[in-house]
Amino acid sequence: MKLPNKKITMNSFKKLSVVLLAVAVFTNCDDFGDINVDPNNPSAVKTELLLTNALRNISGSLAATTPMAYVQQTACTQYNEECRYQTVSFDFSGYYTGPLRDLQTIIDLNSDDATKGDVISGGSNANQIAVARIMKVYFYHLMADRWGYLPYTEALQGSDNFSPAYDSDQSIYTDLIAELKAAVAQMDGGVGVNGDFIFDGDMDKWAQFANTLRMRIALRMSEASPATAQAEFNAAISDGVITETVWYPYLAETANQNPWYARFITRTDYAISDVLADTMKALTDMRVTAYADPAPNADTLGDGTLIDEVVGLSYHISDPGAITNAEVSFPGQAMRAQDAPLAIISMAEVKLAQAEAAQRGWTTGVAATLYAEGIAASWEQWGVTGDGTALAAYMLNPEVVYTPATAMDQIAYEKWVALYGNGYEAWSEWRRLNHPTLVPHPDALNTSGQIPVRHGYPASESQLNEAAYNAAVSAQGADDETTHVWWDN
Amino acid sequence: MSYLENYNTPVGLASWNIRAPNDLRPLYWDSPYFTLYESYANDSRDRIYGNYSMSYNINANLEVVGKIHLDTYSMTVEDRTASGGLDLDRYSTINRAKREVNYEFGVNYRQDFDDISVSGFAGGNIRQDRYNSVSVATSGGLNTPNFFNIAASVDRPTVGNTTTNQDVRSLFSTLTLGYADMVYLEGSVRNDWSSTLPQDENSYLYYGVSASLVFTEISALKNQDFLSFGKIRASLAQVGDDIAPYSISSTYNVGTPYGSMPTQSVPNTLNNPNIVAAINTDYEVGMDLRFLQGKVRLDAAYYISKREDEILNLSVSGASGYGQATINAGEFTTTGLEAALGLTAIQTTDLNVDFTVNWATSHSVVDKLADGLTVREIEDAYFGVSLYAKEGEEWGLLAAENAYGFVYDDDGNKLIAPSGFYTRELNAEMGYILPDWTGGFRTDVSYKNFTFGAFIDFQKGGQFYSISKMFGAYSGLTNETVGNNVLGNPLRDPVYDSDGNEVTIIALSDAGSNSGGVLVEGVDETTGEPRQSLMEAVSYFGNVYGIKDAWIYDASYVKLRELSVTYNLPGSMLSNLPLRRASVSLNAKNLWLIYAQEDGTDPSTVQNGTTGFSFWEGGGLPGTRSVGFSVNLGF
Repeated sequence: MKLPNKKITMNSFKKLSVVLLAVAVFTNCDDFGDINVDPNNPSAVKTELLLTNALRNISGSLAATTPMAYVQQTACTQYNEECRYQTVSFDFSGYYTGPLRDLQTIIDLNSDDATKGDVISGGSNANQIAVARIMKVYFYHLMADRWGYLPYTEALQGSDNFSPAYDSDQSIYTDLIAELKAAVAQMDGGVGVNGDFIFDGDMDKWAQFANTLRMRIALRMSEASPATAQAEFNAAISDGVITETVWYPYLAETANQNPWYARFITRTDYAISDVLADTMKALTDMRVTAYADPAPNADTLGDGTLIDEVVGLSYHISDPGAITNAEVSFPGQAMRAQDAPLAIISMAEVKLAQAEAAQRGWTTGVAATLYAEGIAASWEQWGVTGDGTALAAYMLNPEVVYTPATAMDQIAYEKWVALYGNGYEAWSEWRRLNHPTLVPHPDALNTSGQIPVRHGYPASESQLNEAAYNAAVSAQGADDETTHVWWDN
Repeated sequence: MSYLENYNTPVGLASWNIRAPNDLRPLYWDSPYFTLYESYANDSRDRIYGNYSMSYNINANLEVVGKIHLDTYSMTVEDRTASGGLDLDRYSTINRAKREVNYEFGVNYRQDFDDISVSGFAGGNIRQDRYNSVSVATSGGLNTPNFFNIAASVDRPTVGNTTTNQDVRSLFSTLTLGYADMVYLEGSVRNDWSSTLPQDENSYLYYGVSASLVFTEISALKNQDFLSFGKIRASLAQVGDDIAPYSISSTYNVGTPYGSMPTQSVPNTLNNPNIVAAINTDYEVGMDLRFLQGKVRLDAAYYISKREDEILNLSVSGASGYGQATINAGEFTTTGLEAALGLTAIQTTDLNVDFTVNWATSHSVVDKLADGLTVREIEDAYFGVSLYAKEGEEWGLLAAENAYGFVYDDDGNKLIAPSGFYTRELNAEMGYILPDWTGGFRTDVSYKNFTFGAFIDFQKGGQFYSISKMFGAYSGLTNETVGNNVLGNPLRDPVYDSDGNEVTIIALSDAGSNSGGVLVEGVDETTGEPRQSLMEAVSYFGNVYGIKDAWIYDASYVKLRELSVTYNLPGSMLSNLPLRRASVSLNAKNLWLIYAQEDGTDPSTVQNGTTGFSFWEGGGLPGTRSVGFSVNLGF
C-alpha cells in the first residue's frame, strides 16, 4: 500500500519546524544512548553454562565415523570415499574456537581477581579451573594424536596472537601430564562444579578421570619414551583410576541425540565391516550381536542363530553400491539408539591397559587376570554377558587363551574389538600396537594408498598462519596422512 | 519423469532412488513430486511505504523542505517437511517486521546571475532502522502426521528472536555552479553519525567534487557538423561505510541446552571495540562525444576505485580461539574502462536503425591485507573449492581447499605421477573469477508502426566452478563417462594388460587391445616425457572428483538475451477511443546460448554465492526461456 503524497499547510509546517529545530538543538549528534547494546546475546556469562557447552563437544569426536573406517570396524556403503581415505586434511579450528575457547574462558574468569567473585555459581574457583584444565587436556590429547604438532602454548590468545606457533606433540604430551597432575592437586574440597552432566559435580570422580587420562596418555608413549611411559603409568594407577566406565549420556531428544542415530534417519552410510564381524563370529564373540543389528536377509542366508544373522559388509570391494541394505548389518541399537550412551573411557580399556603394563613388566599385576577382566568388562559394557557361559566359552578359544608369547597381539586385538564405538582411541591404539594387520582399501584415493596414520592440517593454517605452519611442517615432516605422530614408530 | 508422480504406493512412499529392486522406498532421495506437493513453503508480506513532504518558498531563490519517509513491512514465512519421507517431518514459522523511517529537513537555493547559475542544498537526515523477528520450529518430528503446527512438536520446539536497531544522523550540503551551459562545477560534503560505531568514534565525514566542460560550446568549436556535441568530465567521489549493529562489543552466544541445562559459548567472531568508519574513494574521468548530429555517439570513462582500511570480517587461524576477527584493514584497487558506441545507420521518416555496443573491462588488485596475513578466504563454495583474496595478486582467486589441483609443467602440460595417474597438489591455486571484459550488442529497428529489438551479451574470460559437472562425472551421468576410448573399446569396460589380466591402471602401450578405461594423458613428473595410461573408469572418475581443477571452466560466453517486436497502433485507429497511445508487443528472453566453453552449463546463469559473487553453480535448475506478450495503453 502506498500512502498519498501530502502537501501540508503553512501553519502545520511552522509547528513541525519548531519540533525539528527542538530535536536538532536537544540531541547531541553523537549520543545514541544504549541503542547499540545487543538485545540478542548476553554480555554476562555464567561459567557453568560454558562448561555444559564444552562437555557437549565431547560427542562429535567420540562418535566420529572416519577413524572407525580406518581401523575397519565399519565399512562404507555406496558412497565409500571415507573408506578409501579421500580426505587427507581435517580442520582442527572447531576444537579451538569451540570447547577450548570456552574452557580457557572458565579458567580466565576464575583466575582474574576482578571476575572470580562473580562466577562462583559454577563451583569453587579452584574446582572450576581444575575441571577446565582436565577437559582441555582431554581435547588436546585427542588433537595431538590426530595432527601431531599443534598450536598449544601460544594458542587461544585471541587478538594478542593471531599467528600462534606450533609445539611438538612430544612437548605437548609432557605438559598434558603436568596439567593433569596440577589440576587434581588444586581441587580444594570446595563446592563441586555445576553444569556437569558427566559426573554431576563429583570432584572425586573428576580426579579419577584425570588420573585415567594420564594412564591413557602415559601408555601411548610406550614405544617412543618407555621409561617415562612406565613411570607416569604407574603414578597414574597409584593415584587412583576410574572404577566404572565413564559414559557420554545421550538424551532421547533431537538436540542431544546419539549422532549414529541421526546418521541413520535419512541415510545408511555405514555397516559393520566383514573384517571385524567375521573375526568375531569365528570366535563366537557375542559382542558382535550388540555391535551390529541382524542383516534383514540373513535369516534365509544363515542358519538362524543370532550371531550368524550379523553380516559384515565387505570392506575391500570397489562397488559396495551393488550390495543392498537388506544384505548387511548396520551398527547395533546398543551404539545407535537415540539415547544409547558411548564410553568416553571404558573399564575394558583400563583393564587391558593394565594387562599390557603387566605384560611389559612395568607392574607386578598378573597380566592374564587383568586381560580376562578387561574382556569381561567389555562384554559387560555391551550387555552380552548373560549367565556367563558364552563368555566362558569365548575365553577358551585357543586364539583368546592368554599366551605370554603372543600376549601383546592378543591385547591389541582385544583393544581393537573393545574400542568399537570410540574410533579415535581405536585408531591411535592400532597405530601404536600395529595389530591387527589391516589391508588398505585397494581403491584408495589418497596418494600413498595406505591407511592414514595422521590427519593433515586444515588449508586455513597454511594460508592464515603460514610462517608457523611452515615451521611445523619442516620440523615434523610432510603435512600429509603418512607422517607419523611422535609416539608412533 | 511423470511416473514419479505416483509416489504414493500401497506399500508406502516410493522414489526413483530405490533401496533394492524389491524395496521401492527412497534410499537417498525422495520423489521430487513428494517434495513439491507435500513439503511446501509459503510466505506472505504486508508492506506500507510513503512520504509526507512539505516545502515553503521563502523567496524566489530559497525553499525550505521537510520530508518524512516511511517504509515498513511485516512478513510470515512457513516451511514444512512432510511426514513419511526420508527427512524427519518438521514445521517452522518466522515472523519478521522491519521499519525504516527517514526524517529529512533542509534548504534549497537556486539563482542565476547572467551566465552563471548557482544551486545548492543544505540539510540533515535522521534514519531509524528497526528490525524484529521471532522464529519457532518443531523439534524431533510431528506427533500427528502432516499436522503442520508448532503444537505438533515431539520435543521442545526451538524458538528464537532477534532485534536490531540502528540510527544514522547526517548533515550534508551540495553546491553546483554552472557557466554558460559550458562549465559545471559541483561539490558535496556529508557528515554521518552512526549508532553502530564506538561512541567516541562514530562521526565520519566524506565529500565529492566533479567538473565537466562542454567544449563544443566554445565558440571556435560551436555549430559545426562533424562533432556536434562534446563533453569531458572528471570526478572524485567518496562514500563512508559503517558496521552492522552490535558488532563492536563482546557478548556470549546462547547455545543448545543439554536437556534442561542451558549453555553459553564464546562467539566464533572476535568483535573489535576500536572499529572506525571506512571511507572509499572513486576517481573517474570521462567523455561524451556525438558526431554528425548525433548519428554516431561515443561515451567512455576510466576509473580508479580505492578501498582502504575497510571494515573486514577476517578469517584468522582458528588456533587463536576465534575463526574471525573484525578489523579495519586492507587496500584494494580497481581500475576500469567502460565505453559505449552508438550508431544510427538509417534514419528516414519510416525507417530507423540503431546499433549500440557496450564494452567494459576492469582489473582488481589486492594491494594489502591485514598485518601478518597474506590470504583472506571470501567464500567456501563447498566440496573443496574456495574463493580467496591474496595479497599482491588479482582479486578473486579460486583455490582447492583441503582438496587437490593438477600440477602443470611450464608448457601447461599436466604432470603424471609414477602410478600413471595425475600428479596432485593439495590446496592448489586454480585461477581467477573476474572476466577480462564484458559487453553487449543491442539493435533497435523501427519501421512505420513496428519496432524490433535484439540484445546479445558476451563475456571473455573469468572462471567458474561446476559442482553439477563434478558430480555428473563422479556418478556416471554425464556424456564424458560413456563412449569408446582411444583403443575403440567402451571406456567403462575393465582395463586389461597385454596378458589379459584385469588391472586398475596401465600404460597405454602395455594395455590389451580389448582394454577399456579412460585415457590419462600428460608428461611424466620426473622425466618430462609424454606419458599415456588407461585407467578403470569408476576409479578414474572417483579420483578426478578430488582434483578440483577438472571442474573449473572458462566463463566466456555469447548469449542472445532478448528479442522483441512491438506494434504501435496508429493515431488514426485511436481517434475514436479515449486513448492517447496503445501498443502490443511480443518479448522473448534468455533465448540462445550461442557460445560457451563447456556443454551442459551456462556461465551466464551461474548463481550468486552468499557473498554476492557468482563463481560456482551446483545442481541449479536449467535456465528457462520465456516468451511474453504485453499490451500497453496510455490514457
